[in-house]
Amino acid sequence: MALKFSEDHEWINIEGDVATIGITNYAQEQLGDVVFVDLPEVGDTLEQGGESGVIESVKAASEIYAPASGEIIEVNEDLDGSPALINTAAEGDGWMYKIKLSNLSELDDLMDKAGYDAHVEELD
Amino acid sequence: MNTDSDLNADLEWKFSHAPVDYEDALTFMEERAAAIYSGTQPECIWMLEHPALYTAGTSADISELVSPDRFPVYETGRGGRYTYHGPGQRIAYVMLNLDKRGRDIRAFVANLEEWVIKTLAQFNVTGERREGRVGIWVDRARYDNHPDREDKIAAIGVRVRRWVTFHGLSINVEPDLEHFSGIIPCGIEEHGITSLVDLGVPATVQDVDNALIATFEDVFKP
Repeated sequence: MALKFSEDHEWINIEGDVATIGITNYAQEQLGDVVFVDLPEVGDTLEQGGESGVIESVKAASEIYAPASGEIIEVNEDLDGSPALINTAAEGDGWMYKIKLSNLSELDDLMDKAGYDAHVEELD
Repeated sequence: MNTDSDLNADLEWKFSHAPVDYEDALTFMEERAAAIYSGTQPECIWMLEHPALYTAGTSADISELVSPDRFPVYETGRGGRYTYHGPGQRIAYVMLNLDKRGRDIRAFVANLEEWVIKTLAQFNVTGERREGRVGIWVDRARYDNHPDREDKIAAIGVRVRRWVTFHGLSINVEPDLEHFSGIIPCGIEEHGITSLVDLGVPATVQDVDNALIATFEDVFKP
């Protein structure tokens, strides 16, 4: 099991060839109150860096991107009725979807926690 | 080193005088947003009007589309619910690179609101923010005999793709206000819609363009 981060502010929790993905706490703070989340569907395939959904906050719809390629095997249905979970628990109950990874070597492109924290520090 | 004037120096202002089809506008914005991201074209603000139509934002609920057959309805990727666009309503589509402007989406939306407020002030109209209701509102008690009425005069809805914004804002100059009755604008049922002309301000679309240009630099600085 390993937790990694993308430059686009997604986190990815990897267990074997399955990964759970969400946006980081930093990202939810930048977005403000989330009112709607549009997620991919089970069976969709994602390319690393490609659009994986949309998060709407304060009249701004922001695209989110896949930190790794793979097939969607589960989406967080709770976000339908409770999109604010993204704000209250971005890195926990506010997870967005799970994928079956198709290219494990892509994970080398991602940052660990220390690397991501340094990345965020540079942005502020 | 970047100075304030440098940040806006390359910005392109684009003006359309004939109504622009919705699909054509969307295609232009998508292409420009990609070009801004890749650094091949400058940021752009595009002033235009659309023919009469309704658009659905990402959180639109179909129950708020009261008259689905009245005008064309477009699904669109901007934030927000249903809105109306049509002749007499000036739109500013705002294609800016937030990567250069602070990467703060909430601040960007607040800046769009501030830009509208300053623009309306040029016509001595007091636009106000309302907690929980995005867009810009006018307290009718200031203008006529509607003491308990607040009406919306401008709407805001944006999309952010890799920190580049598109879509933007609309200001009601002299649209047919009856056209808004086919939807529940922005999902807000209990308030009305107004325009500059409805408030007794004899403004034209050209006047609004000039006011938007005059106030832009005050709001959008680094």
